[in-house]
Amino acid sequence: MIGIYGHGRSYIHLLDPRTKLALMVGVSLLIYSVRPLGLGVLLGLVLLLSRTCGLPYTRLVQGLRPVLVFFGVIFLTHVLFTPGAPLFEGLPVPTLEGVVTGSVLILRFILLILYTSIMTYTTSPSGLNYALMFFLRPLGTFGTDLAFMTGTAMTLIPGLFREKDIITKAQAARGYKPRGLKGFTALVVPLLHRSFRRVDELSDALESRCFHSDRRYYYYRKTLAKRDCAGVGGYFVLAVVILFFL
Amino acid sequence: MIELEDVSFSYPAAGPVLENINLIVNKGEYLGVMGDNGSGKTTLARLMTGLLLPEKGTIRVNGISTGDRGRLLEIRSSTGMVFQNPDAQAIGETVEEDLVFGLENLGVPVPEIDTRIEQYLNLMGIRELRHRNIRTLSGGQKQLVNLVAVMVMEPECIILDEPSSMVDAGTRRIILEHIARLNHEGTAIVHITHDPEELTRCQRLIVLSRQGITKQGTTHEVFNQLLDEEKMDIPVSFAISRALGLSPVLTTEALLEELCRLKSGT
Repeated sequence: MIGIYGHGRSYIHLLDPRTKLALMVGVSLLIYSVRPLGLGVLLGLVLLLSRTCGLPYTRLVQGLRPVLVFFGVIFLTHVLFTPGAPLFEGLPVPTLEGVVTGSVLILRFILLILYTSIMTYTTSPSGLNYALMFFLRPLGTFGTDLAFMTGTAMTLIPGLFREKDIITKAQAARGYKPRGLKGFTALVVPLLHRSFRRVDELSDALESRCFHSDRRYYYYRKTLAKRDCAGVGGYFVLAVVILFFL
Repeated sequence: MIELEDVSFSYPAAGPVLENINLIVNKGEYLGVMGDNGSGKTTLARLMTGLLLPEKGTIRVNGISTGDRGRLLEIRSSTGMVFQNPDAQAIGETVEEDLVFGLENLGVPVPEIDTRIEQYLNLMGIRELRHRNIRTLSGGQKQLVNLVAVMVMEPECIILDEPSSMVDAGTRRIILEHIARLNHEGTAIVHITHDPEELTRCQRLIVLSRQGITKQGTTHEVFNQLLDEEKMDIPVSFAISRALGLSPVLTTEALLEELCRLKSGT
């Protein structure tokens, strides 16, 4: 699941956060540029990485649950609006092209989420902040603030899902069954309320622990090691293979 | 160390919470703050650390006004705060990250960060939690981590906002013992709670209400006043010892000693 960090000593855990962030950008570009066979290879790789870093498949897949509706809408849009050969005689939609295009696009989104989950599972929020800050350094103080906000926002994502679970369970315990738009607002309004309160608490916690935008992340700073070079090298080999041979 | 002079504060929706508060927290002092719900205890804590600014009056920490936003870092590095809700204070994902956060803000060198983390986790007996994800800890463990997160920053004064209201009796005892030890080592403590049993080790007590500070004095003086007014916000051992005509004591151990002495007739 995106945003949940698990302490470990795997090869991916030990990679420099900057290397992981750069590789994540590289993999994202690959995900959106390779053909379906290449996507299959990337799917196999993400499962292998998940096993290597000790993230159970069930938890990896759990990260997809909240976006299933989004996937459904994308798929339906493609199925209904992509011109092509009808799947059923006499009906203009769904089309074969629509099904294929929709499926491939969803697979790209799924891969993006799975790779992000692996990265956040193996990179501590401090490491992530450090990497973001490193790459946003040219922007000065604005870059530092932006990096901190991005890193902190990512750590808040799992909290949102937990809050959603708490609210739905509390409503269910009182016999409430959410239905339609009313059910949606009954969830969203308290969720927003709790989220704002959490952000408020977090801001107090940050301030009371002397947070200031000139702060430096140095405890988790690493020097690039051979394993980082190996990771980047591996990425380039993979990119060449799936871009030019698959 | 902390001076509040004619401090008033109100929330837009709730109206005035604190009015004309005058208070001094001395270096190395253990001050207890009691009060009912809504009496402004948490607001007082937030004002003392500069998280809120007073509407009227001034608050100075080591002579620096909390209104001097350019010097907030100095104020906050000398006053640490432990929040009531154990989940509200966690910043890092793992215990170690959480502890490192504050120390990095203060610019503490890496070897010293390691030394302090080891030292304080050992002191609290939770060394094995160092690499655990904070979310997987129990409420009591989280609150101990929160206390350590403030302790590692070694502030001159620690403000505790009902630190044991969400923990079990065992953890509460541990927290109270560590607070007392910190105070013994020279850290000023402002302990906010509605439970008088937690304040038996305080040197001085204030009682807060919507009208402001209604009582203040040494712990014995304030509890005596409360008992005279037939208010039961006092430790049980204090009430029993006074009812039996013994010299008033604040802890169960002291009460037992007094009772034994009474029984043996010495």
